[in-house]
Amino acid sequence: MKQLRSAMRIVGIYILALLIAGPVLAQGSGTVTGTVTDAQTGDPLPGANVYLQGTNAGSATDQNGRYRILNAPPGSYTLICSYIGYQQASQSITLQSGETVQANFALQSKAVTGEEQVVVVGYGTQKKRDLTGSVSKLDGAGINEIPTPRVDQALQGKISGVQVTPESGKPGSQPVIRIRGIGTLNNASPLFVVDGLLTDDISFLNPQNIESVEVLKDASATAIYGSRGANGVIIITTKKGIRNQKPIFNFTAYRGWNQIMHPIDLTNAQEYATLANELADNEGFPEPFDDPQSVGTGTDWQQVVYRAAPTQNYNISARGGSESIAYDLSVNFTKETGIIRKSDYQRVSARLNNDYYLTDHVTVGHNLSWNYIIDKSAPSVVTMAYHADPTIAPRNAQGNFSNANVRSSAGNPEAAIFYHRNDNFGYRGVGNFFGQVDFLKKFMFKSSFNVDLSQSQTKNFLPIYTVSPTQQNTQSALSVDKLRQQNWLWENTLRFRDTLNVQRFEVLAGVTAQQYTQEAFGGRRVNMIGQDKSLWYLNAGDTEGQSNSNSAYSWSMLSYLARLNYALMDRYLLTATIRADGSSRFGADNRFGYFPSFALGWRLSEEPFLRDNPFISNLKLRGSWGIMGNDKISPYPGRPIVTGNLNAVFGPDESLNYGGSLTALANPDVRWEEAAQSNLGLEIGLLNDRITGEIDLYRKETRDILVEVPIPAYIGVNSPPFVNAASVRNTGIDFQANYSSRWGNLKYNLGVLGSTVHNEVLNLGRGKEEILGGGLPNQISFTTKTMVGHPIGAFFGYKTDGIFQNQQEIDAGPTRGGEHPGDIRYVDVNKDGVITADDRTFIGSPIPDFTYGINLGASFKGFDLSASFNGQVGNKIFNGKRTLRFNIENWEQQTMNRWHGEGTSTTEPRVTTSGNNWLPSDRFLQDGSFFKLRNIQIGYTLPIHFTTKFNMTKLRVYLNGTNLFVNTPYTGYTPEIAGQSIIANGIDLGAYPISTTYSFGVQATF
Amino acid sequence: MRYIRVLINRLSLTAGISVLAALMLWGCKEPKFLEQPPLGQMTSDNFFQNADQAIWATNATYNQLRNWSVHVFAWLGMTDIASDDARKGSTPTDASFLLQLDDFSFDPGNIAFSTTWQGYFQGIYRANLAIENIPGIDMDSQLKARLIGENKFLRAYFYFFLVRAYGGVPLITQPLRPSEYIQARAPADSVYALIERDLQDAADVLPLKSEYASSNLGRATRGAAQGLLAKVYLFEGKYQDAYDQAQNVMTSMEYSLLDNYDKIFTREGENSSGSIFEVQATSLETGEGGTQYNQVQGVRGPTNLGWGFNDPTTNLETAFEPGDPRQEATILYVWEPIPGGEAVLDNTNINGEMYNQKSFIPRDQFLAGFNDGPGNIRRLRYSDILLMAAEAAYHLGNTGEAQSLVNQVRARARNGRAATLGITAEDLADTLKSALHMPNVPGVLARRVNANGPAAGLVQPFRWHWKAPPPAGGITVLDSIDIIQSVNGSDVTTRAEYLDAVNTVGAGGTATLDILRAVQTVNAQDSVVTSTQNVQENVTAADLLPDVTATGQALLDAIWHERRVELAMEQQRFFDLRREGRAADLLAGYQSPKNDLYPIPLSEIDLTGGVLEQNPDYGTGAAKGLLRLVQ
Repeated sequence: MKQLRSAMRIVGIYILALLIAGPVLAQGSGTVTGTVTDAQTGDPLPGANVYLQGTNAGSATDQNGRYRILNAPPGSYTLICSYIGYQQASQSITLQSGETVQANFALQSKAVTGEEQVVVVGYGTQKKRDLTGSVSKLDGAGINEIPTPRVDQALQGKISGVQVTPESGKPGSQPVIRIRGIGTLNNASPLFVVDGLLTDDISFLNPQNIESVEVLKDASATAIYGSRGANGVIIITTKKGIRNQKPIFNFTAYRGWNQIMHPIDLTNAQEYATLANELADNEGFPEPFDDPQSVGTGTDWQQVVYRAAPTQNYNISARGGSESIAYDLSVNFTKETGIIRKSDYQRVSARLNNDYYLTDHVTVGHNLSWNYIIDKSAPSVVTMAYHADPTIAPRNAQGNFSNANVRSSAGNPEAAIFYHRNDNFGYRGVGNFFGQVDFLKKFMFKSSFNVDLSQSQTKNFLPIYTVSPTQQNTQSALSVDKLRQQNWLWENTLRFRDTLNVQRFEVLAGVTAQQYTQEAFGGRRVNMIGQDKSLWYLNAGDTEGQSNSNSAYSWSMLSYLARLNYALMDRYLLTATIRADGSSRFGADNRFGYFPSFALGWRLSEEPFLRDNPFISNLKLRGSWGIMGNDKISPYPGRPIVTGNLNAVFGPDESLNYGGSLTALANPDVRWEEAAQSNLGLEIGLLNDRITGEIDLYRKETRDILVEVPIPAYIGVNSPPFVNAASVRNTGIDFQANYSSRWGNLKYNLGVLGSTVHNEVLNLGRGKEEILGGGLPNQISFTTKTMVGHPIGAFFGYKTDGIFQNQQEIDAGPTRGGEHPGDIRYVDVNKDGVITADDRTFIGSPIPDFTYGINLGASFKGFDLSASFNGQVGNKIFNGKRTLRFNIENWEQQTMNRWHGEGTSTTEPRVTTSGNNWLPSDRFLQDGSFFKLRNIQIGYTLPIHFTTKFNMTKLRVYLNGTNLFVNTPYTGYTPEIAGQSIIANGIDLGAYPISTTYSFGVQATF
Repeated sequence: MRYIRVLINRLSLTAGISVLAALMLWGCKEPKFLEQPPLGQMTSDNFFQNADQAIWATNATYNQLRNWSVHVFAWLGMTDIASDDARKGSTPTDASFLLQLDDFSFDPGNIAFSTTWQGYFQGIYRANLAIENIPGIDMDSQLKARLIGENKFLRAYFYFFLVRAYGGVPLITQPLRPSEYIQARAPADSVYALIERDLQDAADVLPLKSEYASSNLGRATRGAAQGLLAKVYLFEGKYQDAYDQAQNVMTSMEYSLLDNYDKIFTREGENSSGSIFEVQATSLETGEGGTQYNQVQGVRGPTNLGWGFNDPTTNLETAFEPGDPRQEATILYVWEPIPGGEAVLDNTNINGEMYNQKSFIPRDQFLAGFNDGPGNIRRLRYSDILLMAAEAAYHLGNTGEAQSLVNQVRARARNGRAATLGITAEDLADTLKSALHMPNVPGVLARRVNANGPAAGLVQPFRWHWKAPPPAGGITVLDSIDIIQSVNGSDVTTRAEYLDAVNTVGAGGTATLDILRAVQTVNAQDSVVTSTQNVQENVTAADLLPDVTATGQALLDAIWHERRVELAMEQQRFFDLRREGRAADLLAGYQSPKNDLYPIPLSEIDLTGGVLEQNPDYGTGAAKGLLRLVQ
């Protein structure tokens, strides 16, 4: 361990030597010694930094809190002591040659109260107490509580008003994030700002590099991002170095395993055979099984497909700085394997965040990160395993894959995994370079240049195989696709800050320019000469039948922004922002959009009548209004593009003559969608901020949502252009509250948060009454309908009313015609005596009424415990995978409760494959409410006197469990069903299941 | 040191403000930064700039001719299936909207109307784009005029379908601006006026067929413009104009009737001497050159994985005069051998299977999938010109010329022969059935003739397929095949030899046919037994397609009859019947005047808020849309 520590020191010194220009010569004879302790407890603080200001002479405290600075030149100094988590302290000393000066420090813990907290807002920072907008903050520790390779996944249940739903349980997959509901019919994902870079993709971020995550929710906070703020903004700040800090080495590692969280209770082989025979009787074909009891329990395909999959993560970082340089370096390796074989996610990332303090007024710096990602996609076997025939073994007696298509059309999942060949990797470099000049005391100019370059490649190899007549491939093929992205952003801001008696104000103005380019290149060949990965190159295939593609697009933005923050007597706060965004996406007439916001705050707790109140420590009322935009539309919506390949055939040899024309209509007036949001918030702190709370009421109305409004066909274009026509309203409440206290050595805290959303479509544009969505693969028409007066993507179908028990009940009607006893009775909604398509009605919404999170933390001496829960109430899930059946597919256990004779069931119809019972109805609609133990962690920090023997300042080990249990009435793998599609959400078609993760980790600081 | 700091501060204030100011100025003065031209794509900014692009835009108009909505499914329904030539075909429940066209039970919501309406107006939009933008291009003036002429021809072609199908429609002669999106219907006369003007303009500038470079084979010619104009005039009842335009085509000496009628509809017969305008299609391995015209009418089942729609009716089958070789070239029967040595297999899901042989393409000629059919769609043939001229001449009182023109068409159909045994399918059926003592049950299929001879020793089979429920017990005849082996003692081994031998007999003579009859039976033990026997039949020969000598109404009837059999299954019949005023008499379910026009698609009326008015007797259906327009 000692060698390791020495080695790390050497690495640190080496890096320092690289970074620090011109080492200072020590020509000294004085010595400074002393101890550093915690002012409250008197405990010695090992690893604290003590140095003479303006020199490089300094030292760190040892395990007993003692330090010794040798060979300091004589003179008068300010001696500085700093330590993470404590307030910096200083003493003046005079050092004589040959003398030893004693200087002790008792440091005050930097337990920042809520309102002194600094919050990152757009283009700057603000003290929490000065905020007039709705901004929620989560610090790096909160992010790292959950072992996941993705920052966005760690946000679940941590911030009110933010709904994070995994779209897939595949490692490394991007979750769907919605901030304050769904405000558009198009892309509703928030904007990410990473160290100033505006982006949609944060897969490159290593959670351990995160200093803080701020979520901007209301208009006052997001309007500074103008045409990109309407879906909310998530600002992510990475860790920076610390000036005058000896290197702190951090090593963290965890290992664990993933396993399927909640397998579905499917029928076993005997039950399957029983139902299959019953199905055959009902449908009028011969029974497939002579004796259903003889087939045994058969194959549980879920056990075949899902595995316990290891996960691991290692991170090493060095953080510190000198007077003129602060640095934070880290390297991370993470590898998470998927619970479905052949899917995994690996990432190597490195980060170098440096600040160079060139003079007292000039600082330059950079935040650089580079990473390499291998992301292997999963074979699509989830629905296959759900439907596969349980009477078939994966392999036959000869060891070959069995034909599982004898009765079912699902196929053999084991074979599907075996023949899945996929290779995907990419690298990405994200860099931020900035320079900052303070001048004339009140001004600060900052110029920041961000660049984001990435390249990725996907290879899909399709081998030749034959499992069954319907599960085979006769021609091998390889497709290779490359994607290159390039994104740069240059921001220049000027800030003026001043105080005039009881008035404080800050003015910010800036100009930013951004350009993004994406280029895709792909090729495909068939009849590959072999299957080996060394042959996964296009040259190994036939040139005949090859195809290629190459496409690109780009967009640019030019923006001007300004913000005024004004505070009167620290009580009355005003924020006004405006941003003008010029975007290449929009027509020349609409090139610029203007996005203003205004907000007022009143800190009642600063008023004389409350200032000395012992109970209320903070009380603030704030309100805001503003307009933001959503520009997430195609890059060239306003410009007619020539449709190519409208070829004609001419000549005796019938050759193809290129044709093309402006057949697609563009809308030159197309513009961003606009969301007007008002917000009313109350912040409260009680008992010296031991209890804090925040509640926000909001109303967000999005207008000018882009929809394709139908136009008469005689105009002659293939499809109508997008026009700004629809509008949607979201209203709701966000709240969060925290309580923290201690009882002897037991410290604990409790946080709760929740939000409600009420979503309503106000208008869909002239001529458009509804948008249908959610078509299922078995073509039983659509399942959702977006219509004025209802939530976006509301479920639409028949209501069921039990089961027809006998012919008399059928005769009494109402019926669709052709029903048999045992079939579903539908509700005659329009009371016309028959069941027709007109009886379909709204049957539920995929949007939850209420989402919540509960976070607990406690520590006792060396032990600590944290647990977080999250959940939602009131949403429905359309269990789409139950409906997809063409043949005798396997069933969920509930089908055993089917009707098979009068009085046998009033809920589950008789077994059939199609027709009456399979219409989209509330039969497939299930309650999607859930309560989940998102994460629990028990840690133990070894006693300091023990760890210092190994030259460590901290050593903590922990056990962690993620997604340990979920309580839900939903019968699928998970009630967290999400899709990027706005109008067809909450439909479970068999997404990659979410896994439970158990892990063990260690954190060491040297 | 202090001095340096002050300097730096001053400098940075200056620098900061100037950078901000410079950026703002740059932003204002350089909106080019916000101009991101689409990459790898042409836009309105750089299109219609040169001759190549003018050609591309023109090709794009031709491209629409191959579109699904223009010449495929719904269109076949509105032309052939609605007529007495064809029925829906395919399985009974497949594409029921076409069944509604067959029996005239459709309403304005039928998707056939919205499909063709959209497809033809999209073609008009492409033509309008070209007609509006090509004049401004700096290019060879002759080529420019030709390209504009081609687009005008195509625009007229698109409008001609619309005006015949729907009557007056919105008359759109340039791409509409958003403020012009709501259009009312123009009177049918105005639409016809535009069509006439466009076709006259096209005829003035388009080259003759022979004047085009061969690589341009398939483009609209002067002959095509004149021929189509003749048809337009015929539909307007302008007989002198129709006659004159037909004469222009005939006197151009660019076209002649191809000797073998049955070669016209093979791929070798594409763009043959009698072809005036065809939708050009081909099959390439990469796709993109074909149409679905062949697929939707193709033989359903493994034969060529067609969909089996637009089946000829027995009404059409019996319309052919005895021995007319065009019957054989028009109708494809079950068990009929097809090139490649296969036969059309019986599909038990379809009753009374017959297929449109004129659209049939053998399976091996689809290179990129069956939805990419290579067959050209014949839209205007020289025989049509002759028959239009005959009809115009009749109306102008030139009986002799009318007879002579129609007889040219009949002579080509005879192709050098004069006599026939007069054996049609039904005649032979009765003969065979009585010879075999078969019960005379309905559902007996017709004869099919093998042109090439299927197997060694077997010639001229007449194949029967009997689809009746087997009687309880006893022997059931499944199939019998008659093979004519000689005519009056002279052996016949090919279809040509057979026809020649019949021709030698001469009209009025008697021919003795030696027939080898193979019979397949199922005995009581359920095993299939095949036996053969020799049969002799005596049949009297008759004149084959004798010249028309009738006058008066009988002459007009003869011309109309000739149009039907000559142009059968070429999507002419329905509009001809409407023009002739006979639709209500001949088509079951057709109500006049209601069905004299198809209804305007309901969605269009809704979207214009009722500004677009519905045709009589189809309801209004406008209320919902009108309210929305007012909003």
